[in-house]
Amino acid sequence: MQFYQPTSMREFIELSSSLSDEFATFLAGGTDLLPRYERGQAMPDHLIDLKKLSDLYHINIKDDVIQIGALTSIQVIQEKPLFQSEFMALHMAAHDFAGAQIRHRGTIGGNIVNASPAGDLLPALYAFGAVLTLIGPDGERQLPIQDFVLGPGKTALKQNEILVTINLERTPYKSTFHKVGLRQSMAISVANLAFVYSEKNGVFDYLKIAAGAVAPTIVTLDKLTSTILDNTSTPEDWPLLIEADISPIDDIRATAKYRKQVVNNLVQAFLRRELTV
Amino acid sequence: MTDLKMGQISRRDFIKLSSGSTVALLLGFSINRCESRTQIDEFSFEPNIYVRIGSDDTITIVMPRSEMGQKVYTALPMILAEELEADWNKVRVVQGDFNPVFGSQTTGGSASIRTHYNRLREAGATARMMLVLAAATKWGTPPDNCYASEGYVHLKGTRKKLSYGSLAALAENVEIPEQVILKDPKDFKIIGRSIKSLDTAYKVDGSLDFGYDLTLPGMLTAVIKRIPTFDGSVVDYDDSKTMEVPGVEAVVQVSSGVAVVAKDTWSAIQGRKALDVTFDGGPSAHLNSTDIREKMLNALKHSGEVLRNDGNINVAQKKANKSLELLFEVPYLDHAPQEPNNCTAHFYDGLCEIWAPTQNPGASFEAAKSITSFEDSKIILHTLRMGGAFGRRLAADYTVDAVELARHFSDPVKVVRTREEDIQHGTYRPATVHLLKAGIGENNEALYWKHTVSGPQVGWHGTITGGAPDLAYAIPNVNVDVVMSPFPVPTGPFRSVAHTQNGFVNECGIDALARLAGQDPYAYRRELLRDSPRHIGVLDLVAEKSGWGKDLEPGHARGIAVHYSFRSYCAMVAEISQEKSGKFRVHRMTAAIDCGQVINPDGVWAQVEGGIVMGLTAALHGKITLENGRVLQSNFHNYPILRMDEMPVIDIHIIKSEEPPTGVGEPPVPPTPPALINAIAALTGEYITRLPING
Amino acid sequence: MLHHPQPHTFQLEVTINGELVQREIPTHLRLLDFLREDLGLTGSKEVCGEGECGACTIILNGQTVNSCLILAVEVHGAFIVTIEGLADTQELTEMQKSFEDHHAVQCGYCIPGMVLTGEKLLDRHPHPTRDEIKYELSGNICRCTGYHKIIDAIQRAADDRG
Repeated sequence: MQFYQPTSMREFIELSSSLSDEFATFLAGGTDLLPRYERGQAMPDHLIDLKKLSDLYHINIKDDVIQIGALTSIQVIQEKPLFQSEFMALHMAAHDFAGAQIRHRGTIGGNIVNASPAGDLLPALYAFGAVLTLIGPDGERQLPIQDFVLGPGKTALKQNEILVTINLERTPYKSTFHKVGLRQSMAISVANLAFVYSEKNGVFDYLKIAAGAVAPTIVTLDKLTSTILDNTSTPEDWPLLIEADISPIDDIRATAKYRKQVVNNLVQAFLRRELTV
Repeated sequence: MTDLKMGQISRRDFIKLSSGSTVALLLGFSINRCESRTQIDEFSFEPNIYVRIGSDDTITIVMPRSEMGQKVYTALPMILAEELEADWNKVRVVQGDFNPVFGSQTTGGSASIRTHYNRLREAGATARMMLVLAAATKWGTPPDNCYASEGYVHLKGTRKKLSYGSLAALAENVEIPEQVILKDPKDFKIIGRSIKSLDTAYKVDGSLDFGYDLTLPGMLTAVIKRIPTFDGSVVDYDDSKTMEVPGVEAVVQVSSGVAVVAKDTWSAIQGRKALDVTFDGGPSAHLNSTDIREKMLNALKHSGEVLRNDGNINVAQKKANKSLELLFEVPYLDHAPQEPNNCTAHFYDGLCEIWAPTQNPGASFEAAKSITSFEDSKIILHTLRMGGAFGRRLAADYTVDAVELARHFSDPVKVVRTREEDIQHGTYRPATVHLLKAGIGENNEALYWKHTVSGPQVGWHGTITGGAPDLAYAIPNVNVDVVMSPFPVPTGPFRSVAHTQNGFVNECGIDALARLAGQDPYAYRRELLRDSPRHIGVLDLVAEKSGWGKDLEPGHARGIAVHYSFRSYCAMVAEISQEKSGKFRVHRMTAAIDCGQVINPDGVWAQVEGGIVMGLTAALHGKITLENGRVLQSNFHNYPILRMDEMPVIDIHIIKSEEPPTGVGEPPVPPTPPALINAIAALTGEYITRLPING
Repeated sequence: MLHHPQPHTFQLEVTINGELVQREIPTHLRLLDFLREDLGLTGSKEVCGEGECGACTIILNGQTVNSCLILAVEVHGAFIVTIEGLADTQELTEMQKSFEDHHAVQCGYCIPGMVLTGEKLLDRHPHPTRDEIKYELSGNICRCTGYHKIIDAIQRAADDRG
C-alpha cells in the first residue's frame, strides 16, 4: 500500500489527478475505516491521508454562512461555543457521539462521507440544510447534503473528489437533538432526531425535523411539518404523517416496529411540549 | 490443633523440594517482566510446596490457582501469611505452573479460597512452627519460650529476636511437626483486612503481561479463519493470495479452520482476509435461534427427569385456591472477557511448552497430551495472567489451536483471536426455557411449586438445572424436572452457571406468588425461609440497608431477591424507574452477602460489585442469536457491556461471620436479574420473563 | 475477489514516551500493533479492534485516542505517550497510585486505558464530578468492576493533585 500525505490542496489535486486510474482511498479520522481493514475489506493500493491539509480544519464565518472544514473533529464541534449558541442540535449530536477517544479523532466530514443511515451528525445537518463543498480533479462544486447522500455508504462523490467544507446558514431558530441507542452512550443509534424550529405562542412559524436510522438515508418529516405549519393537521393525524416519511427495518439492534414507536414517541413528545397540546 | 494426617493437607504436600529443576518448574512465572525469575542461588527454606523463605527474609508464596481478576493472588497468600506470622511487606507471589502436586488447579466454582483455606493455614502454621523450633534450638530453650510475630521469632521476656531469613538454614533441618497448631481467628492480623492487591502496581503501569502480551524470541503469531458453523468442516482452501501478503509465513489447516501464521498479528490478519476457504456448513448450517426456542418449548410438553418431588403435586394443584403459570426464557450468552482467548506453544527438544491464560490448566494439559501423545514429563504448561475469564477459560479450545499449529514449527507460535472470533466461537451459557406453575391455598399459604427446565443436552444436567431442585422455600409440594434436547451449540459454565437461569426463575416465581397472595415480597420470603437463618440474615440486612418498605421517589420501585449458590447466601434489592422512551433505568442496587469468614473485604466488595454488573448486563442486554448456524453478534456494538454512565449506585454489605469461607465470585450474579425484574413488576405489575429486557 | 497491494515501507519518525523512534515499517501496519509488537509496549491492549472499549487508549499529541483505529504511518512526526511512559520517572503518577490505593483494579486489562483517559480528563476538569467522569470515560469498558472505584480513584487523584 502506497501512503501519501499531501500538505496543500494544490498537492492534493496533483496527486489525485495522477492517481486517476488507480484504486485510492482517502483517510480522515479513520475511526470507521480501520475496523474494516481488520475484517473483510482489503487495504487499498493507494491511501491518501488528508490530515495534513490545514485548510480542512478551519471554521470561518463568511457573510451569513458558517464554513466548517471537513476535518473538524467531533470534539471541536462539541466544545466550540458557536455551535452551542447557534446550532444546538449539532452540538448535542456531537456531545452524544461515541466516547472521548472517538470524538477526538472522528471528523464531521468523515461522518458525512460514511453516509451511515445512523450517522449521528447527519440529522442535524439535514435539518439545518447543510450545503457541502467538494473538490476534485474537475474543480469545485456544491451540493445540498440530501443530494450528496445517496444511500447507506453511498455518496455523490466522484472519483478522487473529496468533501472539504460544510456550509451552514446562520439561523435565528432554536434546535434540539434526541438519540435513542441500546444504552446511554456509545451505542449506534436505534433512532436519532434533530429538530430546528421557531415557535411563538404555541404556533410554529418554522419547523424542520430530520430522522436518522429509520430509512436508508436521513429523512426529513416534511409531510408532518408542512401540515403543522399550515395548520392542516391535528395531533390525531401525527402518527400516520410521521410514518409516511420513514421506512425503518429490523436489524440486530431493534425491530422496525420499535423504531417507529420510538420516533413517534419522541416527535410527539417534542410537539406536545412546544405546543403544550 | 489439626492432625496433619486428618487435615485437608496431605503429607505429600509437605515433601521438601530440593533445589533445581523441580523448584524452577513449580515457581513458574514471576508476575511481571520487571522482576526476573526468582533467584535460586540464595539459600531458601522450603517447608512445603506453597512457600519458600529466603535467607534474605523474602517469603515467596506459590499460587496454585489462576488469577483472572478475582484477587486470589492476594487472598490466598494472606491466608498462608497469617498463619506463618509473616511480615506482609516481605511476601511475594509466583504463579505455580501446572503440576499434579497441587491437586486440582481448576479455578472455578468460586472455590479457591474455600478449598485452600485450611490447606494454606496449615502450610503457613507448619512453617511457623518449624521456624520457632529452629530458634528454640539456637537459643537452647524450649519452643514454648518462643513466639513468632511479623517475620521474627522472639524469645519471651527478652528483646531477643531472629528473623525468618536468618533461621531458614536451621529450619531446613527441623522435623516437620506431626500436629499443627492454628491461630485463633480472634488473633488474625492479616485475614479480614482490605489489603492492597499484590499485583496492582504492575497493572496500573502496564508492565504486567497477560497471555496476549507474551513475547518469546522468534515467536510467530497466527490467526485462524474459523469454520463459521458449529459442526462444519473445511472443504478446500486457496492460500495463493495470502502467501503474497507481506509478513505471512505459512498457512496451515487445523481442526478449527485454516490458520495464517505470520511475523506479527496485523500481517496475520491481513493474510486471513486474503484467504479463500470453502466450508461445508455441516448438519447445523441452517440452525436458527427460533428453531432452538421452538424445540425447547415443545420439549416442555414431555415429562422429564425428576430432580425433586416433595408431597403430591397433582393433588396440590387441584386443591389450590389461586395459581400462576409463568414461562421463562433466557438466551445463549457469551462471557466476553476483555482479553480475547489466546495461547502460545513451542515444540523443541522433544518437549511441548505451553503458555496458556487458563482457568483450567489440567484441561489444557490433557488436550496437549491427546494431540501430541507425549508423556506427561514432556509437556510443560505455564498458567498466564488472564484479562477476565468468567468461566470461558475453563475450556481448552485455545490450547488446542496453539498445540495443533505449533507442532509444525520450530519457533513458538502464539494464536490470538480478534473480538469477533471470540464472541462467535464461544462456549456459551446455555439458552433455556422454564415452565413454572405455582399456587397458594385458602389462607394464601404457598402450596405447590412445579418447575420444568428445558434446555440443551449438556454433559451433566446440573449445568442447566443447578439451583432449581434446591429451592429453599418451605413449600409442601415441590416438583422439579428437566428435559434436554440435543443442539450442536457449544456450551460451558458461565459465572454462576445454571444459577443464572434458576435464580431468575425461583426468585421471580416466589415474588409473583407473594403478589398472588397479596403479601409483601420480603415478608413472604422471610416466612418461607423461617428454617434457614443465614437466608434470613442476608434478607434482613438487605431490606434494612435498602430502606425496604420506606417511601421512594415518585415513579421509582424496588424489587428483592435472595439466592444460595456456591455455599454462600446473597440477597439483592434493585431500585428502578421507567424513562419516557419506555426504557428502564436502574438507580440503586443494594446487596448483602454471607460468605463465611472474609479474607479480604475489598476483594469481596469487588466480586459482589462485578457480579451485580454481570447480572445487570445479562438482564438488560445479553443475547447471543444464531442465524444460519452462525452467531450473529460480533463485538461490543451489538453485544453491549454495561458502561460507566449506566451504572447504578451500588451498596454492598457483608455479614460478619466465623463460619468457614465460601464462594464470592458467583453468588452475587443469580439474585441480580430477578431483583431488577421484580422491581419492574412492582412498578408495572408485569413480570418480564423473557430476557434480555432490551432484547 | 480481494485485491492485495504490494508491500510498501515507510520511514517513520515519532516521539514515544519522550524518545525519538525511527523505524522502517510497512505502510499498512496498525499503530496498536506497532506499539505492542515492534516496540514491546504491551500496556496498550487489544480487545475490540473497533474503538468500542478504550483498552488501546494512548495519548496522541495531547489527546486520548484509540490506537486500534490508527495506522502507524499516520503518526509520523507526532508525540505519543503510552501507559509505560506516563510517569516520567520510576514513580507512578497520582492517578496510577490512586487506582492502586482505592482498589479500582480487578483483572487489570482495561486499566491502562482507564488511567490514561482519567489522566487527560483532569486537564479538562481539574475537579470532576461523578457525572463528568462517567461522560468522559464512557468510551472505556470494564467487564470486571462496576466502575465505582474507578470513579473514586479519579476523584481522589484530582484531590491529590490539588
